[in-house]
Amino acid sequence: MSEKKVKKVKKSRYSFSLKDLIRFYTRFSIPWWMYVISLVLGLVYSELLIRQAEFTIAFNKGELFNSTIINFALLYIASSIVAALENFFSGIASLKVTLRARKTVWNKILHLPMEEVDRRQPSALISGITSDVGQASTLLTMIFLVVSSIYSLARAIIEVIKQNYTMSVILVVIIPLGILVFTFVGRVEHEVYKRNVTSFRTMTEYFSEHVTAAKNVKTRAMEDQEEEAGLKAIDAKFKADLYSAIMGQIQVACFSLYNRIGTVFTAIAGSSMIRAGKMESTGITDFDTYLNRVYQYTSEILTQYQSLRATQGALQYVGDMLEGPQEELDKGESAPEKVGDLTLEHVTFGYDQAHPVLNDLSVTIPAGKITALIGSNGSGKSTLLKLLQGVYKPDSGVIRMGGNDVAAMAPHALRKEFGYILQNNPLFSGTVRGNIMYGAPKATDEQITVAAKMADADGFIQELADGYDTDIGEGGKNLSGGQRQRVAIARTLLTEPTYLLMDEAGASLDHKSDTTIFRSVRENLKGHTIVVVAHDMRSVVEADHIIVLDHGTLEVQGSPDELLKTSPTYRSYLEKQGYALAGEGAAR
Amino acid sequence: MEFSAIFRKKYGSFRRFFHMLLQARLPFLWIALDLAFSFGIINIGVSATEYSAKLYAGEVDFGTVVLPFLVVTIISLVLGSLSGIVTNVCTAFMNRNLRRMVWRKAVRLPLSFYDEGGPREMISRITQDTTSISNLIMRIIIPIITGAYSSWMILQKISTYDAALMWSLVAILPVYVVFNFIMGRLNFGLNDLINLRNAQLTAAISEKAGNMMLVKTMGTEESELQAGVEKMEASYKASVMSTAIGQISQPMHTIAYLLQTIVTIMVGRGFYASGAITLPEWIAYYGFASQLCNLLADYLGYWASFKSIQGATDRVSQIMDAPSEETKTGEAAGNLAGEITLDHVDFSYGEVPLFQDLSITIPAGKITAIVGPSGSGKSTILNLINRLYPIQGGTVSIGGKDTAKYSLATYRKAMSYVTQECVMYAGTLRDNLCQGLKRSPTDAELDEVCETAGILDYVKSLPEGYNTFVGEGGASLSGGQRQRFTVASALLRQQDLLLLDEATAAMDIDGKDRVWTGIRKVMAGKTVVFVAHDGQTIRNADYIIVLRDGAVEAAGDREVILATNPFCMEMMSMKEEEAD
Repeated sequence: MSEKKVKKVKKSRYSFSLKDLIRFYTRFSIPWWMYVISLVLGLVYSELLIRQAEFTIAFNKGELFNSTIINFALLYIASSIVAALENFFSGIASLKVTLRARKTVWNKILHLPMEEVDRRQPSALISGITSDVGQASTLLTMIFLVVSSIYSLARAIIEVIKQNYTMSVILVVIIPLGILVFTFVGRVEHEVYKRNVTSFRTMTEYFSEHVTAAKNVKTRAMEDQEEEAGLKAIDAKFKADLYSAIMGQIQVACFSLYNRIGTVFTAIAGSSMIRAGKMESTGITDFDTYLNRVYQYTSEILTQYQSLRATQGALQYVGDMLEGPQEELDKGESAPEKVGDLTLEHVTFGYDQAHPVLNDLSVTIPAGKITALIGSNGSGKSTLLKLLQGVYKPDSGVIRMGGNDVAAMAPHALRKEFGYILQNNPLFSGTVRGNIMYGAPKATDEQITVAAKMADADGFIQELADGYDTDIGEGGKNLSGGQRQRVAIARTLLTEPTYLLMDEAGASLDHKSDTTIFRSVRENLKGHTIVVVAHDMRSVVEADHIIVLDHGTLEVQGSPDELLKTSPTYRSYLEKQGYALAGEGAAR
Repeated sequence: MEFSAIFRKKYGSFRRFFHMLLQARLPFLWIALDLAFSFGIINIGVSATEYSAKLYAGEVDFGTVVLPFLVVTIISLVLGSLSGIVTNVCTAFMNRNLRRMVWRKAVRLPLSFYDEGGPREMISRITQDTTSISNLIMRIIIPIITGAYSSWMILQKISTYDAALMWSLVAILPVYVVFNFIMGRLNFGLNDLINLRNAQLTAAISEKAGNMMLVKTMGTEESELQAGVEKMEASYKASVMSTAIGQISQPMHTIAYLLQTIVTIMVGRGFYASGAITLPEWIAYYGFASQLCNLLADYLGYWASFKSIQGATDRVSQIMDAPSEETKTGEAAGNLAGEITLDHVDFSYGEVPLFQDLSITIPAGKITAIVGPSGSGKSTILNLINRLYPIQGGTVSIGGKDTAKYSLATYRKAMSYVTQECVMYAGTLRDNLCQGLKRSPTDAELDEVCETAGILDYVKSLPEGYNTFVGEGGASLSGGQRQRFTVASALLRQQDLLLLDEATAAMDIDGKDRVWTGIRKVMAGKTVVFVAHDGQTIRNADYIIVLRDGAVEAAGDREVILATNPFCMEMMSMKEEEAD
């Protein structure tokens, strides 16, 4: 078992290399031609910009002729059209890449094994689709932009050298210094960003935990302590803000200092050259204009390089997930024709390897009967139901359906055999009908009504404003808890499961609804195989077969009458719920 | 009349806004310092533009041009950096003070306030909306002031070159405003559409990604894939449209900018040609004119951001305007051991009345169960005893004394109320057990209450014992374990009155049995009131009150009620057939 543990750990420490990055981009098609067109347009644009600079210089020299102004205007419009086209192509290409990457990732998420879903947390999966995949197109766009920025930089450098060969020596200082400054600032920025994000998250976590518990604070009359603790959380964020106030400004100061070096140099060197008659009197304008372009492109390239590195983390998460395991839903045998017993043979399973929930468990759930699973919290009852449906795979042992190993069956085929109802079943925003049809999209109105009647839901649905077409709100928030449960049960019954699994399905209902719903389910599904997990012994004594679990092992299984003799746990449960063990009826 | 109503409403929100700013203790000293720095930078900036114009024009005397140029460059660098720090520090202070203000208020708001907006909303009020308010001040109000000052300085400078040039520039300013306004309107509606589509995508994905178990067991992967892809494509289409329109509008922006530039040049050209201004003055004018243009563009931007911030500031100012719960006034509550009576109580959460003229007596020193179908008002009785909501009529008294006379802080401290939610916070087990407790109990004391709640064995099995850290919301514990710790924590308060709302619902049969045996022992002779819906728990009551639709259906000793009340008979019946 320890060997397996090592295996699981290794999987999560998957490292992301350049090779993986390239493989990531082969998972969907990339509109290369759009990127290439946009690159060509980008090069044309930088040529036009160099021309524009000439006009800026002319204006600064007071050359304000009509022809100059008109030519400037024409050039300016032409270059803006080129820029618009460039942005259009790269923009659409990015959107296409994002869309395709999203589809790929969403497909993967839907096919992740449940263990991976648990490990990754839903919120991370969601941001994987909504924000992380955006970085896939950013990375591509950046690569093309860097190419055109490098070209522009080269052009600007040539112009600077043309303007004044002697003074262009400053380039030797500016470019390497730029790299140094950006590296330094990048580090500081990373640190500031990290602190900001962490401190904001810590504060938000505090408030989301405490604001939602307003009732608790009031019932314990602990407003004063609560206020103090909240102020501390606010002050912690304030300290982080002060840190970034100063460090953030140091970055800005570094940039301004760096930018002024060129200005100061041009002023001193240029003025002395003019005084010495080595440069024409308005030469500073020319030189400064082109030098500014050098600055602009240097910083463009370096900024793009920085953000390239930032995309890495986000893509690593998505890439890592795409590399990971996935379920092949339709690969495998179909379900056995005949309804058979469900059996577990020496099954061991744990959500993490160190703590097995089921331990070498062998039990039989007889076909066509009602089986109750009982045992204390954490004895493995719910886990057993999940394993039956192949949502989790046993670490060892075999699960059989009518004698066939379920591991060989296609997950879809296997899960279609089951209906699964929990204590709280999620509903989705949409209509009542949409929710009931969730697992059976081809159902007719008549079938829907029949299922709703079986779940004792038809009555209240008819009374809703729009009947079956009533919008139930996000998570079904417009319905009461009992109504939600009935809709969920109808949804399950509509899929016509061969085996019905109910995990504390009535625990959140008041006993009247509980009784009505289950009587109806039981009558309508007579002859079906039903497995019930319940703490209410009234449901348990009704069962044909009872399995008593104790810490993931079988204590005993058998009919209620047999268990009265063989199981102390069963007997004590009955006693604690007021059953007089000698005879029938309640102890009143 | 309608107009005056609108006016009143607007006036009301402004009044609230200023009222809130007064409470916020803004860092006025820092704001003043920030303004001072900004004014300094503007002055230096004007000089810097002038000197660089001279350099461009070829005036290169070291003493009168180059040296002063270098000096102003360095001064503006230093001032700029310092001013940046001041702005950031000022913002940090402002955020802190605003957050403190909202949090202090949030803690004291009555529970009904949270019911209306949903507690989740309050989180973003504290963490994010406060930032919006400081943005309003630091990024809109202050820039408007400094922008006005800067414009004035620039125009004044130009008037020293030639007064007529200055007036010509002023005359064409409205042209700039119109250009910028039109450009500003272009992208508006589209961004809303994109945001809407993205929000829909996120909502759809989160609903499903959070419930993967259901998707798997229902086998709906393929249809979910299709549904998700549809949302993605909708978001894609909106973005494509916006990209296309954005790029089409690009040349229009260019033309607007060109027109501005040409107008500026045309105005200046005449003055330069006639010799009214020199070359350096022309260059400075050209530079100043484009600065002025940008300032105006900024002003229009402020209006757009003001609109988006307005919502956030309005919500915060509403919170600050809401009445707080008064917890300190009233007599100090001491012994709450007496009989509890609700006398002709009227109560409703919203429009629909829940209790009308409800009278109940809960006997002292006994264990009383409140039972009834869902929605009958069971939990509300406990909430009203705890005074979480004000009653609309009648009285709630304990031992013959009207509970409204007690100060809330002492009153709630004098009893223990275990709510359905059984809240645990990120922290150690000890912290959680001692929630709201002023004293520090010994380990022996903790052992005792944990033993009663049936969780001591678990604590002892942990290597860190009571110092074990539980995750956010007690995430590392199961529902049953959280309930046991919450009950233990309530027992630690050692009060004469204990209220329990479904406090043992998540426990297994043995767990319930053990906890109730413990409660019966510890609370012997004291008053316990509980709400439950399972027979096993209800069997622990001495006295039972049956509620139906906000009225008492029956009340009396357990044996009597269980034998005579149909609701209870049905609930306790062992075989379902008997209930018929």
